[in-house]
Amino acid sequence: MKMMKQSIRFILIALCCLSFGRLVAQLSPEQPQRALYGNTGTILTPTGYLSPDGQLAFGVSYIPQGYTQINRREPLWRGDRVIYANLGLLPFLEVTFRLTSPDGSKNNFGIGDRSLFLRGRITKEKKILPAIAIGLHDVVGVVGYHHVAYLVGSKSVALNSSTQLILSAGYGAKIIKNVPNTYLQGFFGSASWHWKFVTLNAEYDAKKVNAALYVRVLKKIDFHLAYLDLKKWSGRVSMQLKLLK
Amino acid sequence: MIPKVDIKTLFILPLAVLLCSLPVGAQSLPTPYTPAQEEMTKQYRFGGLEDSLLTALKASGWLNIRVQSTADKLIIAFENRTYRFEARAIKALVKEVAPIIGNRYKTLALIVLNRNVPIMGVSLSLEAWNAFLHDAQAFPAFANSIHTTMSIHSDWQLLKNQPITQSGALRTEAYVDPQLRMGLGGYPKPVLVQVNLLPTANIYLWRGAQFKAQAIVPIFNQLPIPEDKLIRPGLIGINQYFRLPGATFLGLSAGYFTNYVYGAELELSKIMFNGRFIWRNKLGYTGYASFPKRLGLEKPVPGWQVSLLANLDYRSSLEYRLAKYDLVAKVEAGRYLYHQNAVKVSVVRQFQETDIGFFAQKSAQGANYGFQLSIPILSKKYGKPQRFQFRSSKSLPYTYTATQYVVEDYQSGNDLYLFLKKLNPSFIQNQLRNSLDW
Repeated sequence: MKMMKQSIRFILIALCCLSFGRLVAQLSPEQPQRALYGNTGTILTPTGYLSPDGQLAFGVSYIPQGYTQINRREPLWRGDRVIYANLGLLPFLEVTFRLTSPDGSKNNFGIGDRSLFLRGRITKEKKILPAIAIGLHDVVGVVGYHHVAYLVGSKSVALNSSTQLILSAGYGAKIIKNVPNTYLQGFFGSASWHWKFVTLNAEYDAKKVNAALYVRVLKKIDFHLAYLDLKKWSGRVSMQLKLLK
Repeated sequence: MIPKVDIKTLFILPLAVLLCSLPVGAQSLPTPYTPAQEEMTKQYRFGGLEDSLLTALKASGWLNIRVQSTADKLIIAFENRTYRFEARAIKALVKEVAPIIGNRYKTLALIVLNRNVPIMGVSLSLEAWNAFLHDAQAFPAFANSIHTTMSIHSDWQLLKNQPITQSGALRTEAYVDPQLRMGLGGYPKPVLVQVNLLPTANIYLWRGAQFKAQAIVPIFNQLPIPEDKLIRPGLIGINQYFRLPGATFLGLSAGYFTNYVYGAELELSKIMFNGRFIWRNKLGYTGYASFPKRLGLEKPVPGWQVSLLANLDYRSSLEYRLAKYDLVAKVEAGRYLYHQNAVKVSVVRQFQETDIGFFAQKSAQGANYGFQLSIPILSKKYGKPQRFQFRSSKSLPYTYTATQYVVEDYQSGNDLYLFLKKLNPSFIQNQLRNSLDW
């Protein structure tokens, strides 16, 4: 625990130093944050914003045992590694390719669970109108561990020149009935508070409450530290590139 | 099962219609310039300016240069083997030419060549360019003056008999392409990787002709294919293509192709609606060939293993380009290698030099889907072309297939299709109009 506190302190000091060099960037609806699963979202829940057109992000995240969608029933299994690539394929369509593999198990699980997430824009955020998106996760493939279809809306509110609040709410359900997924089944919602280079997240993912700290460095590299169910730590590191200049 | 359609009819009928629809002979097309205009062209032969222009273009490494002018238009045909990205090459050429010619012409028309065959044309207002040079706010007016087209007949008629400065023929281009293959999901190792290097020599022969010789050098191999551990021949063959009237291209290839195939291939592509639609037909007559001899999982034996030419493959595709997003949707059907009938559907977006897309295919064996990407690598600009030139590779392609039902196909070395994609008029227009990076 002492080591954890020291690490967090070190990260915060490093971020403060970076901020003075203008190396950190504030998130916004135009440059939205990504969830632990790689798609644009808060922590585990999606938002109504999409990846910008032509932006490619790839990263890795860690989901601890008890919070993954695949129950591997292995004594040595500690959690799942998620490797993903997220792309703004069109201005109104986002695609995420994900590979989920076990961490800590000696058994052969093959390459892992491969899944494809599609998210489409219904409305762009206007003065009153929220950004609304429809999502279809993991519809092609064998098992559909992460299968869900949902509708989600997001609205940003500028509190002052350096602070922004983003609120999201949505509803998810399975459209393929016999899949084992329990993720995003029902109403979910999230709040993100962006202050300068720091973003704080809180969400209800239809089952539990999660919280997170999110920072974007050099406009390209994201660090996401999450506290799932306010019990277990999770995290993500990713990098993003602009394919359109 | 795919629907029971007579696939030969599906292929041969469109090919026959396409061939019959071609105008007979390029020379019979009327030239839009009247004799008086031709005379005016001669009158405006621009003496010293022409010399300085050609000298500058030659020094910059452009090939197959031809220059001609009318009263208010300067026309330049050129071939780029210096820049990785054709749009960047066009920008570089405009920036080079504009200061030399100053305000003498209103319009600059460029004809982009590949292997000395005209592919497409770009025209822009030099007045708008000069205004943009002095004021960045004038960029929208300049951007709107840029037009791209596959209909280059009138300008090409003026240029085609002009002397060629710095011919691109009989030049050799050498490069090393990387190749990445992966075997995913197997037991006990779920990820098997193979990395090869493909040293390649392209010899540009006469107009439209190219000889390509390639070797496959294994660098890292985990795939359980014994012959993949050996240095072996890659694609070795000759390709010739022609531009026919009506933005139609005919390509012929012969040699040792990829995927253990040798033989000959004919390709006919019709570009319609200024590149919005491309109708592409391929016909191949091939046999099996391998070096070294493949003996399943046994150690391969030195020497060639060759079967008779006995396989006829054919396919027809229609692609539509959504110009706003540089998005290409394609449907292809036909008979592929090993008598596999299949239907393929793909959607690919061109993000400038990076291509990312998805595909699905269905054959009698089963369905497959996945993604494909092509990433530009290494330098954006190469050295000036020499008789023998070494350049870096242009891109790294990778295709991921989700199931084992792969529709086997081969590449014949006909890279015209890639060129038509990179030089599609709407794609080039988007690159020139949407970027201030001039």
